[in-house]
Formats: sequence, structure tokens, C-alpha cells
Amino acid sequence: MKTNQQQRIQSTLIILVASFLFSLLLYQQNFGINILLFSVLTNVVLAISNFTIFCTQKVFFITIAYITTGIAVFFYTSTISYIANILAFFTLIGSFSNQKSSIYVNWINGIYTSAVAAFTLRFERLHTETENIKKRNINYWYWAKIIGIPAIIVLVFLNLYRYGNPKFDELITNIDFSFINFGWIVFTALGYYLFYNITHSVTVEPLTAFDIQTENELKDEKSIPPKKEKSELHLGTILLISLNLLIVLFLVTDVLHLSEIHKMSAPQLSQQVHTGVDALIASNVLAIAIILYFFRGSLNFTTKNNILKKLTFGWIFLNLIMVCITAIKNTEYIVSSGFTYKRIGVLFFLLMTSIGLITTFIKVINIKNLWFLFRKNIQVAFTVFIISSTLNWDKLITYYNINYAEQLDIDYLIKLSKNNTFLLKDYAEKFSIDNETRIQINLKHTKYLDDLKNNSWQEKVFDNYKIQ
Amino acid sequence: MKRAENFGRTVLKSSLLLNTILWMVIIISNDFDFKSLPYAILTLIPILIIWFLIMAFTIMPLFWAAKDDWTDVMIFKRYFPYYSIAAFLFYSGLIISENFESGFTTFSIVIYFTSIQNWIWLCKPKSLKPKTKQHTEKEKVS
Repeated sequence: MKTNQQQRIQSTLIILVASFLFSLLLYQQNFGINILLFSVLTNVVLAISNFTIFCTQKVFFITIAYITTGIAVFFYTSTISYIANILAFFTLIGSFSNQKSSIYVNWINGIYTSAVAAFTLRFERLHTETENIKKRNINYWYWAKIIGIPAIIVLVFLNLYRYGNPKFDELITNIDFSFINFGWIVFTALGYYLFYNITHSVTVEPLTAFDIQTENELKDEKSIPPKKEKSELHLGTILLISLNLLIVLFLVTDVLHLSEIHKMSAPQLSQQVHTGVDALIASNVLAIAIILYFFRGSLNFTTKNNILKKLTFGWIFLNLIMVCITAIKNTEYIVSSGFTYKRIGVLFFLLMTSIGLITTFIKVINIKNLWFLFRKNIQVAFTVFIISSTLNWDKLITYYNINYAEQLDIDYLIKLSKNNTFLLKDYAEKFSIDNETRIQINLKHTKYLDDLKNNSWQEKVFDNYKIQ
Repeated sequence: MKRAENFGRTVLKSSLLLNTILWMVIIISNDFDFKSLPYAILTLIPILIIWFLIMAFTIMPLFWAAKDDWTDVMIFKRYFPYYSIAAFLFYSGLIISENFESGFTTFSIVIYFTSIQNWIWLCKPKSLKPKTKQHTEKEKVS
């Protein structure tokens, strides 16, 4: 059994080593393999600090997500992969603070722990009498012994060996400590602060406690008078019948309109997609708000809610059809004009809308509350975001547009990040293009190769190994 | 009144700390001239004014808005987490928008840590004497 003091020494040593590695990986470096190595380092430090929490199922999955985003940064350093990596980091730290809390509470706890855990713990110590007494009893002589004596002995032996072996002496003389400057010391201190914080997690209260106490199930606590319940049931039924009829009419005209989609020009198609998305946003926000209003309490539990439930499911289904029609329009637009980030964004929006409608359906059928919707939708959005960060979007867009799009906007592809450089270079070599475009592509290629060659080992990315 | 007293003392302490850090950074930089050292007293004045305004508009409204019967510990527990998260996101955003420029990054980090330390100074106990039973119960409830 380790004593408290031994544990503290071990923890301090681990944090010290981690902070040196933090500086080595990140000080004055761009992002590359260092982010992946930092992700691994964070996980190792967290695993050593609390292996029991590290092995829980939730933390295990978030760890995988965090490492995956680190790998994504190494393969293609895109803004999405950076953001996903930072988000996964805070989620992991937050899940260490409390394993039972929702994902958005994990984010808040993650930021809080990473930013100020040391200050919070110091404040708490100031307010605990027993800790104050302990503080007075710090054994400075012990710490001087534990650090000073080994340091002096190592220095003595170092000089002894230097005297005895000229090769060793040469090696020691050649060690370059010029990287140690004020900036490096401050950066290492920040690394120490960060690792201290993440290994001493704190939670935001009373938010975390409230989140854990709040369940997903709706309870039949507040019963309203039968007369009011009946009138609400009638109002809901009439409203949903009207809305169902209206959406059916809208969908019929929209489906008829779909047959003319092939004859449309690109600007007309663009206009169609954008107005379709606008209508969809309004329809879905309204749909979810109305459903939440009527199914907020006692109408979930009354035996006479069958018709209202069926109408609600029908409306959700019709909204899903609306999503499909907008998706068809967007796909048609992509086929004719190729992929862009905006068009991919619309596809993601449609996916998230469908998931929102499906979770609303689950909320009604299983009698869940508003928190259920928040938790599940944010969880799904987080998962989708992490998965999407693992894809090389610039390369996918370029590959599709070059090979399949009916109209090619090469300027748009050149303006994308460096992740599509090799693909564009291949395209310029294989196909006949105008000189100005060829010059732009060659310029992008040369600049990217220069950047790759200038990368330090910490900044290396997958393309560095491809060009070797 | 007690909080206002604390406020003045904390502004003074923070300004001294900021001034010391500022001059430490200047002294460490290569182009430092010892003749400029007397100006260290003069730089304290603008720092004092700016820090007074920062505290008056960011931290103190939270103290003044708190209920009269709330202890400093209760205020700290209730508002400090959200303040620290908001400040962290704000300064991180500023640093990223300035493309990690070293001078600006150092400046932002120093301001951030000083504002966090201010909370400790504002809320730390005046002495180590045992708290009243009433206060301890209030803190437990919070």
C-alpha cells in the first residue's frame, strides 16, 4: 500500500514528465503527428491517474473518439478535425469528472476542469480547516532531501564520468539546451498546469447534480382538471388534422414539381433547394414545438389520446417525406454542379432533422421528457460530428467533382485546403486545361511540397510519408 | 460595504501583480534598458485604472447582484465556474483570432489568470477561525 505522500510524489513526477513532453510536442509547432501523440499522452496520464474510471464503458468510447480525431489530424490537418479533437478532449475530461452526466454537462465540466481546477481546489483547501493545518505541516526538509540530494549526487557522478570518458564528455558538451528560454519555460509551466488540472477533476455544481437527478422519463405528477384536458385534446386533434392536410397538399405539389427538376438550370435548382430547406426548418421547428406542447404532461397518460398520437405520428412521417424530397432536390443539384461544403452541409442538416423527428417519435411513444430529446439529439450530433471529422472532405469533393459532376468549378477546388493538392496535380497532368489554371495548380502543389519538406518531426502528416 | 472594501484591495493587489509581470517580461526581453526601470511606477497608474474598470464591469456585478445573506463562498460556488468558463472561451477565441501571436497570447494568459486569482482574493476567508454554525449550514445548502 502506497502512502499519501508516495502517491503525491508519483503524481507530481508523472505530471512533470507529461509537461516536458507537452512542450516537446507543441512548443512553436504547427499541428500534425504531435496532436495524435498528445492525445495518446493525455490518455496515458489519465489512465495512470485513475485506472478505474478509465476502464468504464463511457470513458472507453470517448477515449476511442479522442484518439480517432488525433489520427484524423495526422492524416489530413483540416479545421473540422482540429475542432473535433478539442471537443473530444473536453468531453473526455468532463466524463472523468463525472461518468453519469449528459454529454453537454461533460463539455462544461471538461472546460471547467481544464481551465481552473487548480484554482478551485486551492479555494476549497483555503476553506477547509483541516487542510489549513496540514498546509502548515508541509515537510520542506523532506522535499529538499528528495530533490536536492539526488541532484547533487547525479552532478558529482556526471562530472566524474566526463573526466573518465572523453566520448561521454563530448556527448554531454554537445547537448543543446538553447531551446530553453523564457517562452519555453512558460509553455512548460502551462503544460504542468493543464495536466495537474485534468488529473484533479472538478464539477460545476449544482448543474452536475441536477443533471444526474433529472431522468428521461416523464412522470404523471401534475394532473389537470378533466374539462381542461378534454379541451386540450380537442384543440390538439383539430390542429394536427389541419396541419396534416396542409402538409399533404404541400407534398403533393412538391412531388409534382419534382418531375420538372431535370429541366431546371443550376441557379433555379439552387433557389429550389434553399427555399425547400427554409420551409423544412420552419416546418420542423413548428412540428417539434407543437408536439412538445401537447405531450408535455397529462395528455401522455390519458387513455383517450390514441387519435392524437396517430395524428402526431402521421405528421412526423409526413415531415420525414418532406426531408426526403429536399434531399432529392439537393442530390440533383450535386449531380449537376458537384459537391460544395454548403451542399454537404444541407445533407448533414437533413440527416440531423430526420434524427430529431425520430427521437421526437420515440419521446411520444415511450413517454419521455424534454431532457431526453436534448440528451439524445446532442449525443447523436456529437457522434455524427466525430465521424464526419474522420473523412477527408476536400479530397472527396475534388474526386467527385473531377470525375462525375456535369459542371466543374475548378477555381472552387483550387481554393480548398491543401488536402486535395495531389489529386489536382494528377488532374492537371492527365487532362487538357487552360494555362492559368495549370499555373495555379502547380503553384499550390509546389507550395505544399515546400511546406511538407519544412515540417519538423512534430509537424509531420501522412503526406510527408507519401512523398518520401 | 465589506465587499466594496475587498474590491479596492483586490484591484490594488491585481494591478501590482500585473505590473510586476509586465516588467518581468520587459526585463527578460533582449532589448531592455535599465534606464527605463523608473517607469515601472508610472505604468502602474493605467494598469490600475484599466483593471478597476475590468473588475467593475465583469466580476463585481455578480457580487452586487447576489442576495444579501449569501456568503462569499456561496457566491464563489454559484458564479465562479461560469465566469471562468466564459473567460476561458473569450480569451481562447481572442488568441486564435490573433493567430497565436506570442505577445498577445502572453498578455491574454496573464489577464485571464489574474482575473481568476481575483476571485480567490475576493472570497478567501479573512482568518482561520472556525466559521459560525449558520454559515456552515448555508454553504452546505448551496
